Amino acid sequence: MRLTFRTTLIAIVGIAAFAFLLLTATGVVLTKRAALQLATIQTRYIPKVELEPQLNAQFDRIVRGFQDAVAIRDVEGLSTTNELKQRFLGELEAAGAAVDAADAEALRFAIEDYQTTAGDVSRRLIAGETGEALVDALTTMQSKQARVQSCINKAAALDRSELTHAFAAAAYAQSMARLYQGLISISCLAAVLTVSLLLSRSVLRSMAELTQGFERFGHGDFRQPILVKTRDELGEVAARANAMAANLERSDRERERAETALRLSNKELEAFSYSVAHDLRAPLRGINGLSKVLMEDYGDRLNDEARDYLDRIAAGAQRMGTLIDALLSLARVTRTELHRETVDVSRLAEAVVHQLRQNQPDRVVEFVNEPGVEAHADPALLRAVLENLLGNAWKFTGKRERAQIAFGWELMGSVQVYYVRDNGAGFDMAYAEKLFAPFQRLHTTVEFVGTGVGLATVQRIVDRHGGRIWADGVVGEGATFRFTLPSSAEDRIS
Amino acid sequence: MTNKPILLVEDNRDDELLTLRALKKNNILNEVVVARDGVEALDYLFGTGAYAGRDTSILPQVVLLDLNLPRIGGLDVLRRIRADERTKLLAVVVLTSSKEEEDIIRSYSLGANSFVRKPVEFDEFIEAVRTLGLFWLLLHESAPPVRKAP
Repeated sequence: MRLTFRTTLIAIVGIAAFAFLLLTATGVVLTKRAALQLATIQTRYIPKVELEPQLNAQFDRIVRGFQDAVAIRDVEGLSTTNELKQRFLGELEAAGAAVDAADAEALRFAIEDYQTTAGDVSRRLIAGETGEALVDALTTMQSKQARVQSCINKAAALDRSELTHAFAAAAYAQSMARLYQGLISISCLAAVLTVSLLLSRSVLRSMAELTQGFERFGHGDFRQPILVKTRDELGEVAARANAMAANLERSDRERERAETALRLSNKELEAFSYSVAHDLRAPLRGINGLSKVLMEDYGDRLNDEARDYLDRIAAGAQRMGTLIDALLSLARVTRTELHRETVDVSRLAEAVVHQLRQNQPDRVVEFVNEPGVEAHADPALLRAVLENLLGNAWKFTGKRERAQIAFGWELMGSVQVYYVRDNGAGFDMAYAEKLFAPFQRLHTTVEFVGTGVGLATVQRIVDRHGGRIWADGVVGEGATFRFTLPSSAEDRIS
Repeated sequence: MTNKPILLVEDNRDDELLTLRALKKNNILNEVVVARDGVEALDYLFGTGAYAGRDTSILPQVVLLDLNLPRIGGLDVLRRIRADERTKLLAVVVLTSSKEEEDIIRSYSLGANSFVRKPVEFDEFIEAVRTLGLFWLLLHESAPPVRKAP
């Protein structure tokens, strides 16, 4: 059975109710017992107190009745003594249980005996008999009178010690009633208190353990479960929290495994990149260098066509070198860690354009740079973004007489959006999605040179910053690249 | 210009040829000793193995050291050069295909005097060697102190 709080509370209330019932019942029983004791006193002792003088008085009347009848020599008068005797017996009857049955029987016998003897003696006295026989009869009558007297005394005697005992028993019964009631109420109170105390102690202990456990879980330490073994609601809370912690720990372990796997594969990738960087470039150097050597040493012996072939060989090798570099930098963007800081993007853009101008001093390009634009980003990676976007703008405005490039930012809703705009070759919006895929080019190498990896690199960098990049363009009119660099999670756009 | 030899540590025959040509084109006419791997380079420097008995007091003017070498790699060669009293002041220029930051940092931290990336484009390569030649063979004629490259 699960000992929930509810069942515990019900138990407490039950104990209290049981205690109340027990108290009431004991009260009733004990009070009844005391009342019974008192009733016994009432029926057995109180009637006796009155009985003795009444019986004596009645007997006196009987004796006097005989004496009166003898004195006036009235035989008829003797019959009244019979009524008096009947009344005497009636009174004895009325005393009931107060008189011991044997005593009552003895008294009845004695009074009848006396009545007979006294009647006989009285009649002989009225008849005027005298003599020895009569004196004997009178003596017999007197002894019978004494016998009645003693029987009355015996029957109606009030045993003082018995009465004291009865009163003591009644008092004892009443004090026992009080004692039992006291004991029961104290023990029930103790039981209720004990159960409540045990409950509150177990609850407090469970709560302390739960608090500590939740604190541990809060710090990400899921190894030690919460040790609440009670089978109440708190125990259930603990069990659920433990299950949750076990799940979290499992997913932690899984994540660690995945991270380890990722680290390993990153390491492999790094080794691969390293090998690509060194081993793929060496033969290209050979191809390019030796074709140059060939050209230098034997160029004068070759015709134009052969020289063109040699140039193409050298250019092809060089182009492949550039491609390898671009691929390596794309791979590096994914591998390296982000080190965000506040970057003056305007200054960075200015530096990139300055570099572009130095590389092609003969180009005339108007660059509109919005000053003081800042971002919270990795400076090296952000530089790569600008090098690619501004480099593209520079490249694709190559055929414009008045090339214009602009960098700045604008608000879209509440999101800060950076843009690089040019009035160059532009692109067909139908291919806008393809722009950012690696090796996707919308122009031939004859039109514009490029690796097809630049925008893929840019997109990865923006991705890693939690941002988004998109482009608008019109063929022959120019292109605008917009990107976001959320500084924190709350202004990240989906 | 001194007559001390240049030690070129290079396993790739094409790179060797191109490097020699680039040196020649830059009028660097010092004798060039070519070691094909790290072991050969160390043998030459310390007069062991195939170079047993060589007068090791004649140290090269400069060591042009490739990083990807058979047997003992370039970085290990550099570490041993810097660990030995006789060669710790020797000028070492790391010549390599990669521009991986890791290589550059490790080369400098092991005491390389300079780091030159071998470009695919031959003309750039000649230019790089020219810069090297001017710097190490003309401006620092005497045994150069161990210092980082400018």
